[in-house]
Amino acid sequence: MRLSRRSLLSIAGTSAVALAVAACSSPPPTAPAKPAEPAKPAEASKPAEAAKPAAPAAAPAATAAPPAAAAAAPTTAPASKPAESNPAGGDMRATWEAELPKGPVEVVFWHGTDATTNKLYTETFIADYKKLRPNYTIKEEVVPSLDQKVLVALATDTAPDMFTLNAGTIQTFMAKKALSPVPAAAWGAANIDEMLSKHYLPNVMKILMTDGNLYGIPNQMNANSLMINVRMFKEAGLDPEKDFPKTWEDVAKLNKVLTKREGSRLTQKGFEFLWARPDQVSSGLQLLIRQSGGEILKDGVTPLFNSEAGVKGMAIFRDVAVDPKVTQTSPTSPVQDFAMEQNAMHQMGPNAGTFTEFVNPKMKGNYIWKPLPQMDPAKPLTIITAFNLVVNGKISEEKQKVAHDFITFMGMQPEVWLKGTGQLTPLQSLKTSPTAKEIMPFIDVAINDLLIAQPSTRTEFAGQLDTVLQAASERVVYEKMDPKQSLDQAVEEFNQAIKK
Amino acid sequence: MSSVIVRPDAAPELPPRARPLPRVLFRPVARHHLWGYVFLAPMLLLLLTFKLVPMVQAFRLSLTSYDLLTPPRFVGFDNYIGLMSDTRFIKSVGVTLYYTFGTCVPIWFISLGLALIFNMALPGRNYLRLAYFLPTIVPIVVFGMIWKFLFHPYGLLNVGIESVGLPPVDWLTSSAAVIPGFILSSEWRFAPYFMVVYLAGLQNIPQELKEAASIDGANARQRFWYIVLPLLRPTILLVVVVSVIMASKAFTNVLVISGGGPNGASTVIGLYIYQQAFQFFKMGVASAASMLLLLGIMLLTLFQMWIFRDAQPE
Amino acid sequence: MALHRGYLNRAALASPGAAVRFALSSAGYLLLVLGAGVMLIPIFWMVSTSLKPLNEIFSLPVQWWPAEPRWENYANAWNRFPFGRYFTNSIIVSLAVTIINVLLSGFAGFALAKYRFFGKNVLFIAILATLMLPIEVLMVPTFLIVKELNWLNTYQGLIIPAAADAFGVFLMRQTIIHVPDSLLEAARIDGASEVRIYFQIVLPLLWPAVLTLALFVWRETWDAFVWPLLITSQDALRTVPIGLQRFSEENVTNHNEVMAMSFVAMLPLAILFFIFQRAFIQGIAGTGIKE
Repeated sequence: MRLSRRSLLSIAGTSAVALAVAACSSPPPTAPAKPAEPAKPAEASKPAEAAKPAAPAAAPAATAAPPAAAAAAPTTAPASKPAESNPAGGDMRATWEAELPKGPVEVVFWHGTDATTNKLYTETFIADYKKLRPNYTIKEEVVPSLDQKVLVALATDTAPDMFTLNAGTIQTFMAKKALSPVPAAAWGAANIDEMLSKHYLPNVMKILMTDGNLYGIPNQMNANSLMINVRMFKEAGLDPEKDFPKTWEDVAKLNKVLTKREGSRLTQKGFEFLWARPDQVSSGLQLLIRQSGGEILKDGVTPLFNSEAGVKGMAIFRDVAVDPKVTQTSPTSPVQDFAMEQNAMHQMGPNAGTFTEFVNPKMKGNYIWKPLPQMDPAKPLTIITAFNLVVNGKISEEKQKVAHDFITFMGMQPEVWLKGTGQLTPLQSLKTSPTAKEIMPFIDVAINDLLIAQPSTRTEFAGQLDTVLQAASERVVYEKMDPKQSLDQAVEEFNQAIKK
Repeated sequence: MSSVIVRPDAAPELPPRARPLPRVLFRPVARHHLWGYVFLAPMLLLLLTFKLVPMVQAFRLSLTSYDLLTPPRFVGFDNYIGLMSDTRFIKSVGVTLYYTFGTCVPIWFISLGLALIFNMALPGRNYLRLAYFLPTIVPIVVFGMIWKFLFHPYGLLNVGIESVGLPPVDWLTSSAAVIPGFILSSEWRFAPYFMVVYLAGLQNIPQELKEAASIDGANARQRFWYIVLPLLRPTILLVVVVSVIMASKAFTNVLVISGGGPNGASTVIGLYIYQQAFQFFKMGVASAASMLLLLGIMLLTLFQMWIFRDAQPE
Repeated sequence: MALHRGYLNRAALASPGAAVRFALSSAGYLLLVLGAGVMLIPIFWMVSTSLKPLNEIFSLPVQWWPAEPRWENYANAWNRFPFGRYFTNSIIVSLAVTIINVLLSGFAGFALAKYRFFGKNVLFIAILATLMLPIEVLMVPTFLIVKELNWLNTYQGLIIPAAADAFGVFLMRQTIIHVPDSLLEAARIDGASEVRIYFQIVLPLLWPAVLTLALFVWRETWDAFVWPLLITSQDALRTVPIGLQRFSEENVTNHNEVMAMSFVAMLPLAILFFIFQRAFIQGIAGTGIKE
């Protein structure tokens, strides 16, 4: 164990010297965030206008464009036909393609750890895109704790060119002008409104828009429907096709029938909202409040959730709760209780089926989908959540274009998404596509729930809102506080939290 | 002139001096102390570059409003003033104090007890010590999953409690039980950690001193109180200071296991800071809260060092 | 063996109540063993969970051993992500950080314990202060510094900032306090240089502390998640904790595989500890100093 003194000394000396050199080579640390180039986002939002002056000039080229556009259309995806959208948009699309960078471009793409989407990206989308555009390279990375890492990367100018964000966080990013707007020309439209009316289901994309610009393309959009465990219903003497709950009061009633105990131990529940993360609790409560006709925030700042409708929503939230602490769900495994047949019903987006069967293969064929319960069936309402592909607003225009091109390429293939991951992308074509129906027989339920969906609460303070509403719900359900009192306290907490 | 050194292995052989030291060099008391700087320099350089400089930056950030997406905006001491009137922050200070001292005080004694026991020769000692040590090396990812499962209403903890006839505890949903639950999990994880620190400290106490004392008639308690404990003071100071620092900063366990609930009852300052920085996009406020945390821990540490002041070197 | 006899000798040394004490200590021993069992219960659950299929992991009442242990979970987990690469990187990084930190902490602790120089106490407090800020607010400034040094996505970026940890300095200082000044004085008068004094006189007395520190630094580095996540953007450089985190996907967590890999991740540390324990015993034999 005794190194010779000489060797120890030399190691020590060298490391000291090396450190000194390394330290000397570093200039004094810079201020935390360098002002990024503010001009870029403005330039990037011009493609729509730039397309118009180019259109007359491109008119002679337009006749040549449709064949070029058809040839350039992705030929590998089973059902994607960008050219099927309004032929008049063909020249927009052609302009877009003409303006793409010619030389090699590399785009860095960070996304989360979900294995099925990861597989889809690497094996299908990126591979196919490479065939379409050989000059461009998409460098993708799986990043755990994506949100945190993206924030640090943006603060230090090491951010990826494109990444994924959920609809709540996107509000803050949009408010801070951190993202690059989606170019309508890439979708073959003259402006965003045209693009949306041509391709997407109506209204659903509003949460991703600000000042008339669209900032994200969903790779998953859910209005949550209701999953029902067939076996558990039948055991309780219920017919899953007829006796499914239409209102939340029905859910509360069914809970009484479906909840079973052995002694003091709860062995089965009818339904439980997700309580594993603040945003889950918050979105459950917000759903009920909105369905009761109330609003959550005014202008994204003023709390309105302690209104009469808010109190009503909270009361039902409490009545529907069986025992949130008896649960095995966690933030990264939201289907656990349903998959393990502890809960007879579950609300989630269409891909929940895939994961349920993954956790518990015995669930295959044992569940059906029904529309989300309502507070007032005459005024049905669901709330949208979405995960989106976004482009960093501070990168070079070249990279922005390629990133948008790639995202458009992926966005135009809803059936590929559906088949590969069970995720619903809200494109109109899915409504009538027979392939989609084959892949997901209950897709009508999901789409209908999307059609009656309202945008989730618009605010740049989504984090604070979720934390405050979660605390309010915990007070009511665990500590039996009066709903009005709890919501009033939540209003104070929210005001305080956004003050600074 | 050299003191008598009795050691099992040979003392280092130093060459006999060829001639007496010149008079001018005979100020070794002052001169050699400069070597302190030399020995300190490498680590100091590392800490300066990667810890102290960022800390200064963090302080500067605390004077700004910074959302990580746009450049920081100077706001003076507004963040600090805001914190003083933020009920969630004040509540988190209370929760942190509760958790910190609830975890640390028992650890000081439990770890010492375990170390003393394991310092004795026991059959199978190495295996037993390993068994006690394993909780410390469980990866944090899994630590959270394990304890979430233990805290389940029908989980192992409640099963154990009910088997002795007590009513089950709402570990994660009762404001009264959540911090004690965390304390329990932290004791499990860190008592062995500090046991090893104490063990290392105990090795500094010469066996011969203890044996001489027992030959002189001292019993175990006297040996402990008059020989072991005083010589252990530097290590005790280390354990006290480090345990308080670690517990005050803790947040990953809370984030994973309870998310800070119910109703903020387990939101320690570390979690409050994380939320402000990465969920509320308020890095300025997070930095200000961190500075206040630093101040609090520093005061506590200085106080602890003052109590142990006779365990300091000259 | 000799120690075992020593234990018995000590019992024989103080005569009255020795028998009582021995009996009590046997009961105490039993308690100790039971305590070890209690400490191990969560870990045992972890191992048994690693062998279960996904739909059995959280079953309650607890199923202590799966009906059909799925040993293939370990192979599947290993192959799901590049764990060979992750483990290699973890070993490289942990080894480097441990060596650097232990070496430099020893120097620094020595300086703080045995020298008197201007500003010593202030520097000590400053060094301690580096332990007191949580990593969240230090992340961005530290990241910027590392970026400035061009160390992003490099081994040195993983290693050098992680080696900057003051716990070792504190531990070494508190340990070196015990070294008698007279020993150092004598060596100085005999003409030894300060460096030689450190390596030949002080360091050999520190082995228990050095080993303890090495163990702790290794443990800290081995388990570190935040810093490696920020610094690396490619699998080629990533470490085990990041790999473990990848099992937690947005919609489903392969709990059984996480447990499997976590157990594997614990093994190196457990082995290290087991080996180092023996050194503690040798430490006892070697540190007797009488004046």
